[in-house]
Amino acid sequence: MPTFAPDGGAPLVLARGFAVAFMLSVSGTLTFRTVVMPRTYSYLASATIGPIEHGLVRWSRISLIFAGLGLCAWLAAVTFYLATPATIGDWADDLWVVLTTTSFGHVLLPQILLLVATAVVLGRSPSAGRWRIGLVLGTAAVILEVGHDHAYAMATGLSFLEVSQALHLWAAGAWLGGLLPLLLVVRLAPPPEAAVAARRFAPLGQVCVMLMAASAFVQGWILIGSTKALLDTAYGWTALLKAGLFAVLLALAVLNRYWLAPDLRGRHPDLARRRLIRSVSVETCFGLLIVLVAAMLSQLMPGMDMSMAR
Amino acid sequence: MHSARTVALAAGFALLAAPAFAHAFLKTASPAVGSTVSQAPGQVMINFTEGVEPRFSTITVQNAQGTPVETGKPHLVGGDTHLAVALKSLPPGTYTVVWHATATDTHKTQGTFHFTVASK
Repeated sequence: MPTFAPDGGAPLVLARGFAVAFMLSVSGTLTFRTVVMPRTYSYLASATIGPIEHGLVRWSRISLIFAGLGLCAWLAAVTFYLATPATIGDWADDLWVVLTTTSFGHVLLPQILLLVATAVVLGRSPSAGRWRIGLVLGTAAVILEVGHDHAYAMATGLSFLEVSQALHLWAAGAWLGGLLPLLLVVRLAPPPEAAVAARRFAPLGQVCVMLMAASAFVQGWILIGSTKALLDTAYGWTALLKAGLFAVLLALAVLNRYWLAPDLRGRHPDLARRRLIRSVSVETCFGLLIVLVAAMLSQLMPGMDMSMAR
Repeated sequence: MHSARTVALAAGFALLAAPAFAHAFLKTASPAVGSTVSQAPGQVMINFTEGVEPRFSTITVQNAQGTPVETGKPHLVGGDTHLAVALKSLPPGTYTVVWHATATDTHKTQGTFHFTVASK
């Protein structure tokens, strides 16, 4: 059995996973509001629109705050890993050094600034235009994650692997990050109208699933490097775990799309709604798990490098 | 039309070019790994497979007695993949280079190699 020793240990993996999860939530919520909700609102009574819009604004704000906190926690964890400070004071000094002199810090700082800009643009009660601007800013913060990963460090210019990772991140945000907003609408809207939101989310979800699968295959092909590395290395095993979780997510998404969501317009809409809420909640939990596994993957030595490491 | 398609294909192939390694490993070194040099080098330079962070990377050079012979801290030379450290005037003998690299994606690697300064 291979040895699982991610760089920086569990604290760094958890900090990174936490930061990425909430950044995907920012991107997903803004995408959901901008792409799914405008037409959905035309089906809703005004008494329903207010609470849903309020809920989406609130969840955007919560996601932005926790994404910012996550990035700060990640910075602290990376600093501890790189500098191994002896005291809290040393750690604080080293934080500034990491933030201002390393490639990691040069990517993290714009991410934090983009999150702040997104929060400022959205404000308390964003207009349609502000939601769209927020979407651009929030998505840019997520895409910059590519700057923290293997592909960016490996390449001398824009590479296929970097493009693949950027698409993977965007798709993960739009799909996984959109699940909680979908849950909000299913909870608050009457079942027939909730079905409209679910139906409008489906095409976006399908595109995202295809993009994620294709880009994951590309990254696995390049970073794992061989069947032997897939089966013999911690990186390979973790990639297989991620693929397994993705298969579970996909199965849940199919269940929701073709069975549970259509039942919202059936004979027992309230029962259908409860089942859909439960299913989307489980899907969200698996989504969070897959993000944590992805964070672990980012901290492991890729299979392609194992021959050099020995 | 023909030239536009060619440019597009070339760009596509450029993007498809797969990188070699995902961590910073030693690609080449000067003095070369395991080499014998007739003249004492003024520095040891390591060319890594990807960019490194100089503030969190080290190169130490020790003589046969384990005494460090480098002067100052490692610094980048012409790009973030070349890290060098200056050396004192080295008498003939075998030297051990121990390097710890932190790549720009924060992953750490390490290695050791030897070189010899030949007697005159």
